[in-house]
Amino acid sequence: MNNILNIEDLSKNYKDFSLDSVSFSIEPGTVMGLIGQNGAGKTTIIRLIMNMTGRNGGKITVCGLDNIEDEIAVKNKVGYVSDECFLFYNTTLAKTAAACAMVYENWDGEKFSKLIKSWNLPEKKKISALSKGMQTKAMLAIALCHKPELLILDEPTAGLDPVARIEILDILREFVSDGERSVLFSTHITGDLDKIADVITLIIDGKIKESMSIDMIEDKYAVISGSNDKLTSENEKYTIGLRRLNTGFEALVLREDLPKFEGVSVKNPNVENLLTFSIWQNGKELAL
Amino acid sequence: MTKEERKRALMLEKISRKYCRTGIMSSIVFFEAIAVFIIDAAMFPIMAAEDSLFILLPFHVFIMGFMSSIFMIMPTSLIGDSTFFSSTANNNALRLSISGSFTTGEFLSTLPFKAKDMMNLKLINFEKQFIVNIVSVMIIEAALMVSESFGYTTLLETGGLSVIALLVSEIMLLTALISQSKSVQFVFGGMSVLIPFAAFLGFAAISDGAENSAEMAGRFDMLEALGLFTGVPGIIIITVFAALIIFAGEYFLKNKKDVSWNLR
Repeated sequence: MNNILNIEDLSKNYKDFSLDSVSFSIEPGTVMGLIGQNGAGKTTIIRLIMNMTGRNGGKITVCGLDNIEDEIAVKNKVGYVSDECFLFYNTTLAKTAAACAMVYENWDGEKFSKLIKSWNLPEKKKISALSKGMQTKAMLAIALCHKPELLILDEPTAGLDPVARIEILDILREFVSDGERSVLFSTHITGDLDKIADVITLIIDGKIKESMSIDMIEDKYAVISGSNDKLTSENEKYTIGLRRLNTGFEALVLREDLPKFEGVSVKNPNVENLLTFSIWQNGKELAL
Repeated sequence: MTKEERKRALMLEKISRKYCRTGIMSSIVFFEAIAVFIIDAAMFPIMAAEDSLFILLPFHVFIMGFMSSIFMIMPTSLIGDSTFFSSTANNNALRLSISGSFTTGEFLSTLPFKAKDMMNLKLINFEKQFIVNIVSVMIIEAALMVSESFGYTTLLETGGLSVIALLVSEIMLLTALISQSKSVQFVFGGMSVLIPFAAFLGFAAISDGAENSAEMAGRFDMLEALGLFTGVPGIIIITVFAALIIFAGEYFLKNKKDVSWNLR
């Protein structure tokens, strides 16, 4: 089975930040959640996939095509939604769609009309006059109507109300339902990923820490909590991430290491736990 | 640049200009320039009655202004557009600061265009500017020859000055085209018309003063030296120079491999 997206040894160097040999792939019919704290490199990876910035090393292929050598073909296969509206602010959705129709090989004008009607997007109103949720839906409509095989979403649900967020998640679910198309979904709202993601890729300080099926998170890790006396210098080294409070501690550990901790509560981790405990991996005490 | 690359770059231009307010702004400048020209054409008999280059300067400038406005503003705004697209340090900051007027860059970079199409668009815009420069020189020289036939001999030096001004313009454009620095691209691209104007005015003022002192002292006459840039030699100089710059631009783009949109 050919992957929709393949990233191998991708690197990008800035003055104060570097992406270091990033590698991961997305299979067809999958929603991959890309998580990491601010400045971890999520947006940089997305901009490199879109060739919006130059890379220092590595290779990116979309549906087997190189994203630089076959840039036009790749962009015909990719739908992109940004956290901030990048459409022409001073024009209407109808005119923007007309621009897209000129350049996309597979632009489906009929589908676009249906989508904006069903999402109640005003065709003749300036983009700048649309609400944040409507702008995101407008970008999504454009991204969906040139029949992409990969949807790339960079924080699309940030700043949206819960109803708009759920609607967008439904759209994504429908998008991958045929098992042939995929979504790369970068977000801070990990609750969205619990609902929709099949695979989670965790990036910390420009390095991939984990890329695994969401079901595997529960199989591989556990969140433990207990009073501070249950945490000894002996068993502390088995914690992946640790959060100390005056009243006790909470930590992410490998399930195989659970026997090392006695008298603690154990619960299944979610995506947020994986993210936050990976950031707290140094076991720093919280400044309360 | 191949025919297909040129076609895609021109499509990029068409789409960007269609939704960019710069097009409207340059149209306003165009009509303003026509109004200025009409007013100053009416002043021609008064100005030309004086046999002094310095006094005639405003008229020359208005000839230049007219030429520049009609023939240069449009391609210059295109260069501005493409410079904005490819060298905006922070797309979002720019968008906020000018209410989204120019910032079509990020959207264009998501459409199925090659990043290199943007560089090609920039080259096409530079080429347009060079062609406009050549046409401007030809028209100025022709206008001066007609003027000369009416007995306004001092106008002849203006032809040499305008060729020098356009040479300065083209050197600045070449610098903007080849430079890797975003700020150099932006400043040199944007100022490529204004600076030559200033050079034109400054040189004309110095020459006028020098003419008087040279006559008195019998020394080198700067205005006479301008003869090299006047008439047919001026047209040849500017044409050869433009051809060299276009060749340099093509060579540079062909050898620039890893081109990205580089919006941030």
